[in-house]
Amino acid sequence: MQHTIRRKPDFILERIDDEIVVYHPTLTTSMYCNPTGALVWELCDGSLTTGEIVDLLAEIYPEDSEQIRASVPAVIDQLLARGMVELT
Amino acid sequence: MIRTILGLCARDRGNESMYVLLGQHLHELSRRQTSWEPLVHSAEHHGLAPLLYKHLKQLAIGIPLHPRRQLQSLTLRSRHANAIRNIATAEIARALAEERINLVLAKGIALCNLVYSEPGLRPMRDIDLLVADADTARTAALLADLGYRSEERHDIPDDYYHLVPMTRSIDGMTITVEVHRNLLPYHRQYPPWPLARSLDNGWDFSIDDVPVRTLALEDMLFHVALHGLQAPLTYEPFRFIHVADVVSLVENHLEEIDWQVVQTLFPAGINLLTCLHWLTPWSESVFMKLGLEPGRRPWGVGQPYSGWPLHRFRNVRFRQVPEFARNTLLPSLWWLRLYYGRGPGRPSMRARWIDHPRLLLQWLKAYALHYIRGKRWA
Repeated sequence: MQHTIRRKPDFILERIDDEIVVYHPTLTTSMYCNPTGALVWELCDGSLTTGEIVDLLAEIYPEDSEQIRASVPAVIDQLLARGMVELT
Repeated sequence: MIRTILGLCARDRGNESMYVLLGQHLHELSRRQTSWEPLVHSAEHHGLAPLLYKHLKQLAIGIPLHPRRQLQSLTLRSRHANAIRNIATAEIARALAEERINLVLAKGIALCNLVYSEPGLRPMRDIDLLVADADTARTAALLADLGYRSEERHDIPDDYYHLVPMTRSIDGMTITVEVHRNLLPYHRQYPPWPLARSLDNGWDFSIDDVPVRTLALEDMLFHVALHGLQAPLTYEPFRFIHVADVVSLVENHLEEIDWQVVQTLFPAGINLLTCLHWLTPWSESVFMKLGLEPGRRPWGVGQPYSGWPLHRFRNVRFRQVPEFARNTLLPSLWWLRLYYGRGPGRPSMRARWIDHPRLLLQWLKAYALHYIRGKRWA
């Protein structure tokens, strides 16, 4: 069975200057992302699996679908490794 | 060089002279290929990371990636933390108003909202509330109703100038509130400062649309100087954020502050402000309004006190004794003028040869009395 991905509470996505960062207000954990990474973060609401997030983004941006299929799982792996999202 | 850069950035709004100097020092930092890490760590220690980042951005210099991200991260955390503290403060102020408990906000929570161009620029540890002594118990009960809890095990005596800090977790962040019956610790160097002193002439503003009151601007200036720059030697250590509080308050409220009241309340104030010019140059408007005359640059600018009783003899190694003695007996002239509020020339000699030895003797006497009375050394 495929797990869905959910953002951990308390982590926040914010823009500062020209950068997008996901951070925890009291821990030192943070991760800088590009606009695709920010979209992935927003889609980690606990209702979609990694595969579904990839499919959704590839559908919205068909011209970048190859890159999306390569980079989105990597972004989710990084988020998981930093404890910012969890499998449900 | 790090202290010089931090000193220059210890203000909300920059000015041309300050940015010229900052640019020169940053150029020197790059030329020497000095690591930025110590600068970032010191800025964090001094509560100055958001201001440092603000001024570096203003100067549009290329900050290396890692320190830039560290500063961004500290800025975001401070912004987020203060946004939550504002929500918490508004909730507390509303609850106290409903119970007709008079309240004056003090220190960081007032400064970040009134003195800085955005609240996140002024990191703080807790929310300080000043209430009447008779209302402290009711205030604590109200805070308990709002979900704040105090440590059951603590060593704060019942007659201390503030109650045991109360904490509550909001959105994963621990918010700490200190309820004061007196704004400053009870110490011979400090005037008594109960609520009655500041309630009627306080400065009104609002946080999240909730009306609140803080100290009058003149009182605020007096208080931040006493608390941050002229505290008893064993109290609050020197941090550049206290410089930023004073400088930003003066620069951002220059025309609203009644300088005659300041002169009466705090005769040494102008001398203290003059000393800060050597850390971060005042704007032309401050010079013109206050008629500051900095004179010759004193030695040891930015070097705070580092002798006894701030540091204890028992922690000093044998070979450090000469340096420790020098730091105790001959601190920097800049610090002497700042701490004792003395002007240049003969008054600064008075600080060195009369004020400072006299203060050290008072501390010796206080410690000797403790010893004789059989109490533990403080």
